[in-house]
Amino acid sequence: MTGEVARALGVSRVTIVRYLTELLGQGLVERKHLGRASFWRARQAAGQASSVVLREEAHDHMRQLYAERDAYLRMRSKLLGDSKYEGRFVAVLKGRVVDADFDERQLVRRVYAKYGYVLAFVDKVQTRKKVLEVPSPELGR
Amino acid sequence: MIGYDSVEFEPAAPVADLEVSNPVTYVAERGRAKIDSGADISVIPDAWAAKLRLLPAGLVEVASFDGRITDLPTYYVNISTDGFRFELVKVLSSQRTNALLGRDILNGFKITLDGKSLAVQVSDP
Repeated sequence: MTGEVARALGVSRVTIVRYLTELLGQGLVERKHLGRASFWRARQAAGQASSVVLREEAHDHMRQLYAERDAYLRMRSKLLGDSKYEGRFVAVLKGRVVDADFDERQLVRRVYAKYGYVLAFVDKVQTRKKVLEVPSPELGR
Repeated sequence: MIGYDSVEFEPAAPVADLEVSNPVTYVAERGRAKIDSGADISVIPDAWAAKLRLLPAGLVEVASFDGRITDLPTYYVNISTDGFRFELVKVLSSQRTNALLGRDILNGFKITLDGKSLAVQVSDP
């Protein structure tokens, strides 16, 4: 449901989750309902201890990933209007676009070759938002 | 090896032996993957992602079998199966004990599932 509300309002789903968490409390935030990434963000917003303890390293990675994703979202409308980026995959590292390519693999290969194995946020600059289907029931176990 | 597994799965499911490796350090993990033509993207167990020290590289919304949508991080890995190798494949990780081979990989092959005799034929025509 949060996904539908987010789409209707034109904001990200994690934003909806964050506000719901603030309004309704931590009880709303259960990992099995929100997924790892949403859970992490909601836990940050709620600022409360959780029964699920994420490894410190994974926690740092998710924090970094969201920081890079937020930077990308702030730049997205500009990128969409720029022929250098629209329709291409971009890599965002430390808050800025460091490379772009129509070929996702070539882009990732170049980024890892140039910067080493770093956490960069990669996404395609496009207006269409895609939801992937993985219908195997075990996914949520 | 590609075939049906009737021990771990009931009913028996088509599976493939898989090697997944970190694209930079090449640290690898081996295991079994269920061939899942319903999955848009391949999935590895969380435990593999941790062992390979994978760094997330994106976020995607994923719809589960019950329509529930969750945000999950993505990773780039190298995948080898049955003599075929794929570099920098974008995958998800989840709390599973085995992996899923989705259509992102499967669409590169001709695959015949013979459920009657629990046999799988894979070729790259």
